[in-house]
Amino acid sequence: MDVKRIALIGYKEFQDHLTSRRFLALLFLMLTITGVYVFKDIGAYFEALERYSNSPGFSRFSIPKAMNIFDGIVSGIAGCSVFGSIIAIALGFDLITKERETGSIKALLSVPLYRDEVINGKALGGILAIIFAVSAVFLMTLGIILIYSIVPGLDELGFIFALWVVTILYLSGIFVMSVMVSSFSKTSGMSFIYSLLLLLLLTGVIYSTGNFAVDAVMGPEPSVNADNLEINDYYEQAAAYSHKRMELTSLVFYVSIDCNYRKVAGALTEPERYLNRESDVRYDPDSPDPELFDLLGRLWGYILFLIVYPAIFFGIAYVRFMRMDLR
Amino acid sequence: MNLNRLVTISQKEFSDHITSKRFLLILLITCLVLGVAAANGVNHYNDAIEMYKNGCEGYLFFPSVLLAFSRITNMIGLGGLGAVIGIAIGFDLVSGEKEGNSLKTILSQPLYRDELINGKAVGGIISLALITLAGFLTILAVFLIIGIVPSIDEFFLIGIIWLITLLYMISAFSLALMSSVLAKTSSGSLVITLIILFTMMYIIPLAGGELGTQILLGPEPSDDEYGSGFRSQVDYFESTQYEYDQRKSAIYDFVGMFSIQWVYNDITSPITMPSKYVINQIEFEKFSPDPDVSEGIEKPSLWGILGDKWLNIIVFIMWPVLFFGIAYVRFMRADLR
Repeated sequence: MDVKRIALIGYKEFQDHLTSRRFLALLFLMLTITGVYVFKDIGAYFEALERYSNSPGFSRFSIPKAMNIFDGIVSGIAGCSVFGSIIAIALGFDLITKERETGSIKALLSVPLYRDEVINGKALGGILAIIFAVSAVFLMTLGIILIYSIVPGLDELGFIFALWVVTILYLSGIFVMSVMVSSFSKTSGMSFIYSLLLLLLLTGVIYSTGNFAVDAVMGPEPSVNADNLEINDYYEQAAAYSHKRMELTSLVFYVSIDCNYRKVAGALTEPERYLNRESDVRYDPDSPDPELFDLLGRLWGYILFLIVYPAIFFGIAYVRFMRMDLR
Repeated sequence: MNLNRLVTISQKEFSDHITSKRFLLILLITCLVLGVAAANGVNHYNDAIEMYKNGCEGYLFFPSVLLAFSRITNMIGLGGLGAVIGIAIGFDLVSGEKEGNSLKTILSQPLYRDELINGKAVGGIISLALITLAGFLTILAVFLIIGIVPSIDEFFLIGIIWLITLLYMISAFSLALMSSVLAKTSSGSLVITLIILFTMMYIIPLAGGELGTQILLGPEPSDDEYGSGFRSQVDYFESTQYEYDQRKSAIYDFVGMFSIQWVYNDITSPITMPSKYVINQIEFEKFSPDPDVSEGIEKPSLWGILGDKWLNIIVFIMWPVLFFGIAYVRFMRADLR
């Protein structure tokens, strides 16, 4: 394996993506959808600001922050259906099948290079294209909020940068998944349909199965009437029950890729609300702003899973491509 | 057009579908997804019964099994399963023939073009019916395993939901069929389908609502000018605000009709969640201060719901007809040298 050749293939792939009409059309769609959500969030931002300035003493949360607006990107990309992250699937679903369909893979592999360089380069090129698309979306959002004269501070920029990285990780995971499906399918069309269905399994099905399993494992909630408990015992049991339940549910969130992303992104865009809900720390308006690294420390498990998913998928795609019979 | 030939082609298309590996995989995933959603829905249903027993607000009627279907229709509609299945069955029907050069061979047989496209549509619709039927039988099986036996009335309503779900998938299918006629290759057909779907599902309902409100109605009436507190002024402000909200929701309803997902959700939700539907109808302000309002209300009948939602139902039927019409005309006039 030679890094130079990987870089070369990655660059060529990146160029192919950027100049294809499909990428441009999907990028345009992505920009439109996130743009609509961002405008909605800007409205919410100004409302929150007004509410804060009218009643500073009673506001539950502090001043709205610039990164709250970036929540619009999250709603656009990982909204309620599989179609939000379609740009990642569309980049990857025919990377291998198309080369096989047109017969160009033989010509490609007759050039002096190894197979692993091809698959690594393809993955690299696709991820570069995703970085390009995500950066475009973030720059657009930043531009919009600057037009509305909302200027993010330095620490807010840190949060936005972290959100940028996490978004790229999430979309790369889906992209690599569709590359994996592409190495298994015969035609591009089927590869696309299978990618969509696999994404549906990874998001919706795992989430609902997990929830169902949590309910099945936990059994009924402790109740005062049923067991004739003392009231103190009851509170103790109920607290233990809800604590255990929360742990199990968070396990489900780890595994389901879109819930995972939404969780991390939600924490990054609205850190106060996240801290308020997840930990025992009561929010009080005088406490200092949450720190980025403190927050990332709390979220490390989720971020780890966001990295693990693409790694596993890429491993499978890699092995499959290396052993592929190309006669 | 000869009916015999149409039946032959539909039969062949149908047998092509059900013997393909793709069909089996889709069937398997549908049953799996719907089964899981059903189990999840039963949980939701049990919770709702618990809440109803405790006299929670928001549950006017004793929840029926259909409440479990709200999770299922969410998965099919908003989750995107139905659209994916419809597209998967339809996207390469014509473009695949073009790519494999078999279209010329078929049309050199003694048959007309319209028989071919109609036969393809009928074959696809029958396979979709089979898939949804299998999915709904899985759901019933899950219900029976958990120990919930729907009554005859509920069976009837489940049948209605099945019909609506089938219609929803047919919309996606005919959209895919149309783009497979328009495109040269199967991948191109997929891209066209996705772009149309995206524009209809997300961009028009989301952006159209905002833009329409901004352009047609202007900014929201503000209460600053009426701050002096005279009774007449407050009343005036309230009435303008009310009118504005009414118009705004009318605009949102209109653009929502472009999205088959929203329409699907809109039709099924009164059937699955009658309590919520009734509460929305009698307006929350009237309802909340006076809990006795709920005493006199009857559960909405199916015909009442259908009468209320007739416009949506017409739109729901219009989309597949429109898509199929375009596919038909384009295919009849296609230049196939």
